[in-house]
Amino acid sequence: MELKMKRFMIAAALILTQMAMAEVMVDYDFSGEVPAARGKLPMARFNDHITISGEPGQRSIVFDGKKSSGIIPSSKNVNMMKGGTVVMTLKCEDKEDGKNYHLFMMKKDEWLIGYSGSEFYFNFFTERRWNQGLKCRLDLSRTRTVGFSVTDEGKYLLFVDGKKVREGVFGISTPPLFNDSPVQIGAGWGGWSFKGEIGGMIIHNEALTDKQLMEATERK
Amino acid sequence: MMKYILPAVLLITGVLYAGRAPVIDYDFSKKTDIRLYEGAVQKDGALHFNGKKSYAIILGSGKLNAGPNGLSIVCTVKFNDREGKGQDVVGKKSAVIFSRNDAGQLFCGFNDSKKWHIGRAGELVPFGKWVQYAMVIERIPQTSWGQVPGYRVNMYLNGEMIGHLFSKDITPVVNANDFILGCGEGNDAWAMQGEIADVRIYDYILDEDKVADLAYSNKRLKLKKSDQYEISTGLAALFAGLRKQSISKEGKWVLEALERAALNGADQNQLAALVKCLNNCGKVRTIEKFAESWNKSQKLTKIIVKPGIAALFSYGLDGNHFPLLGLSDLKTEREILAGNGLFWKMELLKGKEFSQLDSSDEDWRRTSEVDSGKIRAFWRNDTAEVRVDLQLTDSRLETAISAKSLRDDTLVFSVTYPCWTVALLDKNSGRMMNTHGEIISNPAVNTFPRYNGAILYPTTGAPMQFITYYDDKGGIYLGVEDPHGGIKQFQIVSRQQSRIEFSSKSPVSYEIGQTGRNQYTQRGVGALELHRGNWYDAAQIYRRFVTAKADWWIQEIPRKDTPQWFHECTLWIRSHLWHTPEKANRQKDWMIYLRNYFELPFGAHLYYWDDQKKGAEFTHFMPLEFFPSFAQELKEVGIYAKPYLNSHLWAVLDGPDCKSDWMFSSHGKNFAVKNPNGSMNYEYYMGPGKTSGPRFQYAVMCPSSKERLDYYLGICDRVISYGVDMLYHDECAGGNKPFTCFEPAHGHLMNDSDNWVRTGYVPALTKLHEKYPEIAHDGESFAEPYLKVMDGFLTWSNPGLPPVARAVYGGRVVFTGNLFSYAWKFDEEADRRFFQIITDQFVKGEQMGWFEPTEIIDFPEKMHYTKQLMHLRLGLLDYFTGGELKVPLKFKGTPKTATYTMDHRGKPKITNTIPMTSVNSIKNDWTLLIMANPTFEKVDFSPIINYPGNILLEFDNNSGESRDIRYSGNYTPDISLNPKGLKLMLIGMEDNTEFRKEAERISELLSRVSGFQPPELEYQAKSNALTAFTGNWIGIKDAKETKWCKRSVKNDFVSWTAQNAEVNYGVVDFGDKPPSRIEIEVLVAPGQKGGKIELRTGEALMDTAVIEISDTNGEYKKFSAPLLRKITGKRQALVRFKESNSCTFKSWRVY
Repeated sequence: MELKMKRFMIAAALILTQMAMAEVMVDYDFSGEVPAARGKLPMARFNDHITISGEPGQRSIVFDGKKSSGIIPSSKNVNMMKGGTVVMTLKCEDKEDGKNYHLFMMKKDEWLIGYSGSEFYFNFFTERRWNQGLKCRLDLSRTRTVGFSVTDEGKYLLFVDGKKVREGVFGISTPPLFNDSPVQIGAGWGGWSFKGEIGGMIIHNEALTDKQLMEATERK
Repeated sequence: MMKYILPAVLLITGVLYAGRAPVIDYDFSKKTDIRLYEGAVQKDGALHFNGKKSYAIILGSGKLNAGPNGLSIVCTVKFNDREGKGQDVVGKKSAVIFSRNDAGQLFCGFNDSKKWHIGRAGELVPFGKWVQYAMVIERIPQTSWGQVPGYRVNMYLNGEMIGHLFSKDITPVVNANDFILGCGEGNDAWAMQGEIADVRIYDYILDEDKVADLAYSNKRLKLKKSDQYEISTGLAALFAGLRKQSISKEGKWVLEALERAALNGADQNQLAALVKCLNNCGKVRTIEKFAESWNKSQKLTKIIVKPGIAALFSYGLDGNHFPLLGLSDLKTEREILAGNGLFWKMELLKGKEFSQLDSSDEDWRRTSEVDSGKIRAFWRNDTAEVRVDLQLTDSRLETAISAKSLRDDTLVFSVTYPCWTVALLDKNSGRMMNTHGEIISNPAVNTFPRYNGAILYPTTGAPMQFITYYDDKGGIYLGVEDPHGGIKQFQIVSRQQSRIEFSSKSPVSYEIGQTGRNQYTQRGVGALELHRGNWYDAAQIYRRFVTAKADWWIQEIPRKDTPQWFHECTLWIRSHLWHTPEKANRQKDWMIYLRNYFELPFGAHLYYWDDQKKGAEFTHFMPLEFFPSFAQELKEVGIYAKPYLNSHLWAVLDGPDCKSDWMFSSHGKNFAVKNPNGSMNYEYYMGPGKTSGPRFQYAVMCPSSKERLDYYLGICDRVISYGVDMLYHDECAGGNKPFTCFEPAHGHLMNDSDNWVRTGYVPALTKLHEKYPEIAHDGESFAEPYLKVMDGFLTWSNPGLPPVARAVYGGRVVFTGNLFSYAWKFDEEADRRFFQIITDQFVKGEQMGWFEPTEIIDFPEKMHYTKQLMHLRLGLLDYFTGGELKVPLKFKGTPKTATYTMDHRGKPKITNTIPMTSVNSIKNDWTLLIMANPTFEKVDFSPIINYPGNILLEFDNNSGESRDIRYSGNYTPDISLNPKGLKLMLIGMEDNTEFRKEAERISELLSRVSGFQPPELEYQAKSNALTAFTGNWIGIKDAKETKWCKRSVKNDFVSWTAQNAEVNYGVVDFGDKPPSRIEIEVLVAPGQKGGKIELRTGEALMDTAVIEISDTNGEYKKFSAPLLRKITGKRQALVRFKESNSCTFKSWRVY
């Protein structure tokens, strides 16, 4: 897992140089002794229930599935449905409650990325309700680098470890809603708290191409 | 040639410069290009701001800064009531602030990038009335040795300089931000609600005359200069001619008085005739003969002479002047008055409109009468009638005023009288003491550190009703001797740096529904009296008044109305229970430990004991479940419980946790003080112990609302039933701002100066005293009208002031605590501060303390010294509670001083004379001299002892033995006092058995106290302790708590440290033998900064070791450092990281 984290960061750095056009809003690297925030937004504020795992130089942050959470400061403009990409290297622990709900990221009443049972989710909010944008079976019991991209027209891509897993177009009957809430990491709804580890995460304010997303999630 | 050219160039430059137009010049009665935002509008000749988010920007003004050439801002503003909130008028973000503060005063200054330099001054800026606001920022260069360079801010209200601020060795921020109107640093919180009619900004320094010209030419203000009448050429020539002649000093005195009368509007033809009379009798010597000659030679004025003082009154002289023309101190041969000398002002209310009248207005019909020592003067027009009585007695002028409205639709709303304008005394030796007891030199230029401008009585700023101004030749007492202690507003203002004005403004009451024809009769008198000393002598004049007339004077001391336990209480501990039984129990453990060591009872001032889940803070005071038994347990071990109450406020959201309106709308709102327009007054506080977050709103209650008092007395009954010994009434007794109330439903008079004390708090607290004679009471700060109903006063915020209250009231006034620090930091400065404050309290006869247990519990020396002083106070109690304070000791030569600071930024600085001394006498004519050295150095001094007596005993500090000194009323020994040393001397009139018995008693006391030993260092914590004394490594898994850092999943390290991150280990046992070093195991990887890591120990978490760590190339390494202090036994311990991202920390050990 630790080596994978390191690779993820190297790959991410390479890709960043190639993607001059896409603004990197968030680029968190938790593998070092000091968490690094290289994107436009500063380091997330994590509460005291976050712990650290791994050996020096190969760290990751650990969510306890109960109270651990973080908030990305100044992230009110991270509007995935206006076009955006999230790349995360993570591993889920089974909560052993029969449901295994996890929230990786959530912008309240706007969008969320999570996990249910053994399925990866992306949902977005419209006038009346949460819409299930994407639901895809995925094994996250081992460390994976997951990249999800969506355009403002609803065209989406899902890559895992450099391989395309799913693509398509969301059926959007009413326009998605946007608000000023910040992006939360690891929590958002009771019972959906994330249990597992995150090695790093990147958020762009636009969708990436197939090639870009493949490279961003490729683990060398 | 050059000698002509240079001055000419300078003159032309000066003229051009002085007359230069402002860079910004907006008159909002004309069309302007000002940019308006968020609801700001330009209409009806002014910019209007809504008190929410509105503001205006002066585009292009960013280039103007408070630079070396200066910056001046002048504007005409009108404020509307924002219910106790400040309002920003003009601002330049992060650079300049110009506002009206929460207290209603002008408030302005600049930023130097590290901090704001802000001053406040002047009287309350009224609502609904146009005023001119001006501030001038001026660079003061270092022009000579000794001149301190810096920046000065002059503050002006309506053209008068009302204060200034000087900041040395700083440079104001220069930035490109444009000036903003109606908004500033306070943002929405201080948004302006009112109007700005014009604003001018100059890139140079406007002088006082120019600012005054702008004010007097401003048609909105309608100002007039009452002491600036133009003197005709003929009369000026007569004055000048006589000045050149050789006339007596008495003649000169009258001449100057006549010149002032001319400036104040006296008839100049009649003055010319008087000057001619003066010509005839100007050479007569002695004041009595001169007066006789003068009084015979004309029938317009009269000189009255009394011992030490002479006055020139006018009774036939026409004009707008006040009839007191001159007042001479015959001993110093100085005129006391300046400018317009004495005058009055009156505020009228017609419907909702306020207007002003004063004694110099032109439309009065004036008459006056003089007889032997008295003058009566009358002013009458169609609206009002005023009478002033003046009486000259030995070295004293007394005066009183009455005023009456003559119209059905007009009320007299306030009367300001007396308004004394006195001449400056010697610039070098002159000192002025304000009503708070602050003393400054040269008041023409300097301002008081805390209380400038308008000060309300009775409050901390004005606990008594007098000021004094003196120099090495003599002094003036200016008192307002109101025996009933009604609300009034005092004001000291330096006028044009050439004279000092002191005034007293009183509200005038009227019946509910009354619209006119009310009247005011001053209670007591305003007095000017001459003295030959300093603040103490002025205090003795005031004492004469309170002894004879004041409602609150207590005849017999020691007070019989105070519980004996309170008399004997020597110390107060401040104890925060923080709403939890765990924290409360910890406080209890500490206090019991202190109680055992001190071997004397003391008091515990308890905070945060109430359950805010049952009702909001400051309002309902429902107890936490554990509190009654907690108070009882304290009582059982001899600790007096004094819980916090607040008599002044009611939370607007008074339900659980300040989240709902429980009883405010149904009760609190009805009990609140109402302003004339029906609005309420508020204070704003964060939750308990919070320094950030939302502020909650609390309305000010009217103490003359019977229902309010019944509710509050019900709370007192309930709290007393828990078994407490005393109640602390916060914001009562001087700690609050008193209001007059206009709520008809309360049933009291409108705008009544007695609303607050006489018909409010005094009868309420009297009821409590009568019902519970063994329960004591104290309130915040000191104010004299509460003397009879309070057993003590918590004067927490004013260290370093002279003991003026004790000089007036002696043992009748007891102070119950002082704040020991604004900073939670333990270093040499904290030590200096502690020993000076507690010694000052002891010497001045106060009950000591009001510090938290953790401020002394780790410091054996402080505990030892405190114990000694506690026992000494109890042993010498008669001199404190049964004694009077005598004139302070003087010294041969200049005594040493010692300084400490109240906070870690070095402010405020308090300087004390060393040794600290007091002289206390008791009924049988014994006088006790106390001299104490609170410093860490030996001090040598020679006191000049000249108190009445025939026998003097000097006590040895250590053995307690006394030594007879040959004494005949004069003794100047050379004394050397060791650090923390004490010297007592006892003077008696007669060397008899009783005196010797007292000497023996004091000897025994000193001997016993000198035998006290410091406590064992160890505080026996009851918790299970980690073991450190075996050299064990203590890891993260042992930690009780981590703060601002992250633990590892395996609990074997912490990382991601923020600045000042902490790992708290709880109680650690360091063993019997103090370890000498600490070793830690850390990893410092790329991106981590290393830096300082501290071990902090003890209940106060003192710094015990500092370990400097550097890069370890990503591997765990060990670092060690010596321990800075000896530490043994069970102590609290934590590790603190000074830097953010300091390191990955694993474990520590001591060895």
